[in-house]
Amino acid sequence: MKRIMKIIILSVLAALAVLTFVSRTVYNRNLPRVSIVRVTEDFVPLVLIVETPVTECGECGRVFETEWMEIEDEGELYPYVVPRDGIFYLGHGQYAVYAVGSRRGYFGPEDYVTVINIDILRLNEKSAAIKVSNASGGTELSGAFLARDISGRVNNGDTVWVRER
Amino acid sequence: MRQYAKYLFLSVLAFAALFPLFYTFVNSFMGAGEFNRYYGALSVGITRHNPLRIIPDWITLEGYREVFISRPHYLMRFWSSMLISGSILVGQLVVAVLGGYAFSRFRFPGCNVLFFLIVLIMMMPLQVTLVPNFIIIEALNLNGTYAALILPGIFSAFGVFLMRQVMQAVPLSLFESAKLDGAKSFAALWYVCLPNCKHGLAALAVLNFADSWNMVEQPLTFLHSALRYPLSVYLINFGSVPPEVVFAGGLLSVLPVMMLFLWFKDEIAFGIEYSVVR
Repeated sequence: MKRIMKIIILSVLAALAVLTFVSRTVYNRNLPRVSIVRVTEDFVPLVLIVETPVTECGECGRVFETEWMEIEDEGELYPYVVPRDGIFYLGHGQYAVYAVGSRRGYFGPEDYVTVINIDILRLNEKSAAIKVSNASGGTELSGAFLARDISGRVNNGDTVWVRER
Repeated sequence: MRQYAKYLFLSVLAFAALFPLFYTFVNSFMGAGEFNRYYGALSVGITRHNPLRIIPDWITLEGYREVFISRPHYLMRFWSSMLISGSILVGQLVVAVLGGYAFSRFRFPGCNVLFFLIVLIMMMPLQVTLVPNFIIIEALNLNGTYAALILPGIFSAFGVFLMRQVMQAVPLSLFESAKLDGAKSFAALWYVCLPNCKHGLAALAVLNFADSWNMVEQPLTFLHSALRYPLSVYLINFGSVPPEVVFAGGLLSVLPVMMLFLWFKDEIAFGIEYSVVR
């Protein structure tokens, strides 16, 4: 009886492990990529303005009441999304990155910010890094502090460091 | 007549215990549309006029598909729960066995006082020890990590108490004959004590695993990220998790504890029999 139980338990765990791997792979493959349109230092530490509007966190499933706002930067208007309840979530990879504040436990100076498009588990509020996945090959960044770190241009795979002004 | 009354009473108790499980089982075959139609009012706080749905209008495996295939959220949290509960189980078995052996077989200065403190801690509700634990975890810089859940779980007083009681029931003559054969303390524990304490170990394993599998307060206190929450916390977020996932996932979350119980059922049955006969 114990041997049968052992076989059943191990089979179930193995099946769940395989299902987890398959489910994650399929899910990640279908995630839309984040395109970073513009990065500005107007908001400490960082604001990423994205092309796709966000209403739902792809990982936790939380639905955000969002509002569209437009900020002016160098004479042009860009839309961005801010969760109304004040909780800032990083774009786990599904759609976009929100305005991130400097609340303790979320972000602070010297943190590096990443949006990881594929790995839905490696993200936590204290450290995340922007992995630019713009298929066109690069995005110009505005802001002197960013220029200091990466010469004013971010390419795919770069890590952007957050600094206070 | 007394017999019938006894059976009736037991039937009522069994019904009360099993009905929630049955209800979860039948509702796990409902689709999202049916949930919205019959339970949608609950999401806006209207609790009247919500009849229990025992028989779904349309049986569907939508919930199970959502759990296993569509999104990996449930499965990722399943493995998080397994990691936390498994680590606590292994750690506590080691600590409880060694601690219980020390208290049952050795007399050292302060052992009675220490054991009294263990019993005292064991009787304290979780909420009393949550704040001190939080302060210690914060000082160790483990806040937000799984270690914040695992470490307090490993060093739990109940395991030491249980193993001490179980080991005290092992006849002294066995230890004396082991000593005569040249066995040291650890050899006596491994070859003499533990084989006679299998029922106690089984009971501790099942109780401990079930307790850590179902914990809610500790993850909400120590973990900051919703990504790291174990299954027990994920499933209570009825608003953000689809209801068909909650019911299907809730039913499936019973399986690990049930499997562990079935694994150890012989030892547990022996332990109950043994304590009754004694």
